[in-house]
Amino acid sequence: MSAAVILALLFTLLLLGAPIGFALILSGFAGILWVGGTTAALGVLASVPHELAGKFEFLTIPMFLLMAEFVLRSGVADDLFKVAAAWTGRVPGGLGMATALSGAGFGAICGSSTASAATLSATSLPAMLKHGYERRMAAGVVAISGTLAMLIPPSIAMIIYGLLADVNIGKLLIAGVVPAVLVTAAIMLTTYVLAKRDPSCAPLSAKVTWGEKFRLLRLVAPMLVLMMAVTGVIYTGVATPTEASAMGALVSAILYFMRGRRTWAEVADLFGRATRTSCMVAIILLGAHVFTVFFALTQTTQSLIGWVGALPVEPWVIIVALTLMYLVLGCFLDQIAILVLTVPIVAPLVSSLGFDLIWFGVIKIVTAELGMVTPPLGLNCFVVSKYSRTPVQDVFRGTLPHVAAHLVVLAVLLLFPALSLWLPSQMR
Amino acid sequence: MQILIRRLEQVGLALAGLCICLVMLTVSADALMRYALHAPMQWATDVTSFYLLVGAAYLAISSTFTAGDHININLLHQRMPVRLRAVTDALCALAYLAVFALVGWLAWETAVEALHNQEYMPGYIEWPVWLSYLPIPLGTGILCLRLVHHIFMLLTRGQDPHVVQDHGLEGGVE
Repeated sequence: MSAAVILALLFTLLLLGAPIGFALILSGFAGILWVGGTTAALGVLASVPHELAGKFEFLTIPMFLLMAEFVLRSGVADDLFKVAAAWTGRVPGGLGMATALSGAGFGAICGSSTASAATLSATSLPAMLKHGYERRMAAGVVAISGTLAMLIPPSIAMIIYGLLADVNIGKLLIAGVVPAVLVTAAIMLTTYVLAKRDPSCAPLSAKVTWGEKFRLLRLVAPMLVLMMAVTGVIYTGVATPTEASAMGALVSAILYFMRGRRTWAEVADLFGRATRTSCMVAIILLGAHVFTVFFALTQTTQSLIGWVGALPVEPWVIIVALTLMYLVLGCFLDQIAILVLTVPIVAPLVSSLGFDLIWFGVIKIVTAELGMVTPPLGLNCFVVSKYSRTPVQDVFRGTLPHVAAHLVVLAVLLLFPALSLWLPSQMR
Repeated sequence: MQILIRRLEQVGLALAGLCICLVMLTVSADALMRYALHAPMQWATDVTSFYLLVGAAYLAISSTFTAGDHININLLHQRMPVRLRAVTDALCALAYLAVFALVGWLAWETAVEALHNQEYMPGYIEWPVWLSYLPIPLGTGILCLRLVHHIFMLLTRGQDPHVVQDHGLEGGVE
């Protein structure tokens, strides 16, 4: 009863436009007050805010956000597309493939999908349009390629999942690598098939000599340095994810200052953005924690697990149902909202059914990628639409073939958990 | 009043940004010293988690609110009649004010008590406990001032031009 009323309060606050973190703290506090009394409620508010902010793993969030800001403004991404286009430009759909590759490359050094979509909109989209690509196709491949940043380490959404589900952040990040390769291949293959079917929508680019191709490869160096400073050191066990995130931010800061003259105003703005977003995530995680305490007091999660466990269905049916739920929610809700509102309940449930939470994290993030490009609220499509001045419905139509390909990859990842779990199992 | 709150928010944001910058430098230096010179900085983890991360999380809470960067779901919110929206926003802000005032007050009490009892964090260096709690009442205190001003503006003018209502397209972290 109390859980139902407090959930109704939470959703009312959310519908009234309350910030998600604030709504969770308010309703969670009201719930604890109701169920546990004043002492319990004040005890939670006195201890949780300090405990949570001091959690060492949390520092990966501000560090990767800072790294994203430095990378975004350093111009590293512009070069990635140049290199990829030189190598794939003569293949049907080559510039679209180059967009997917530079999206993957950018994703390997920046954890934000919308930042990636915005960057690709400014770099690869004008290049494709200049070469005569159909606007819808070009916008579609940019929107979907941007989502790769969510899956390829360092992914900020994945870290939030990891903190909420309480799983090993290092293993979780590395688990995204093989699925990301599959998704990149799916985007490239889809682009190739589309270009083959109608060559007029994706003309071939001018020939680039082999000498030029190899000469351009040096432009990838900054990305490789950053990738090694983060993913490389996490995978080899040289440093922990928290150390790797700080090193990544520092190396990207060095690259940023090396690649141009910077003003104080720009640096202050960059730090301001990273700081405000970190604060927003901290308050959301605080709210999720307060709300989880309320759920623990009411035994809601345990009751739900018991109820689902007693259902006369196989565990995989539950996983498929959860995946479908995430796909539907992704159409309407912000991905961070979905993570915060569902993972504290879904993670114990998935674990109780005997599934690996790292694998499920990958599945969740792939559904989140789809949520970024499906109507009516696919954020990446709005970003691409805004930057390219293309009607948003055209961007949605352009991503449709990629959504179908993405669903196939999702099914493969569901069927073969080893694709996600093999690489983390090799870590030291 | 608005100018004072704006200044306090700017100071809070600058201090939180400084905390993040120091986290980057401290943790990187510790990692380099540990792996390259086998001489870790024993105090790095304590300083980071006791002070810098708490500062980074709370000192910018009000400027984040003012910039509209605390993400929300704006499906219904944007479609509500202006007058009704002002009333519901003011009521919601009143509820935030109550809960954040409580969070700030409880952390302030803990800090004062720790200062009075001369409490120190256990670890390599004995760091004072009170300083670790201080960013919470400071950050939430500025937010409470902002919320009082926000409620006043909503009730008297029907809108608050100083607070951004819905975050922009790139405001999220996805």
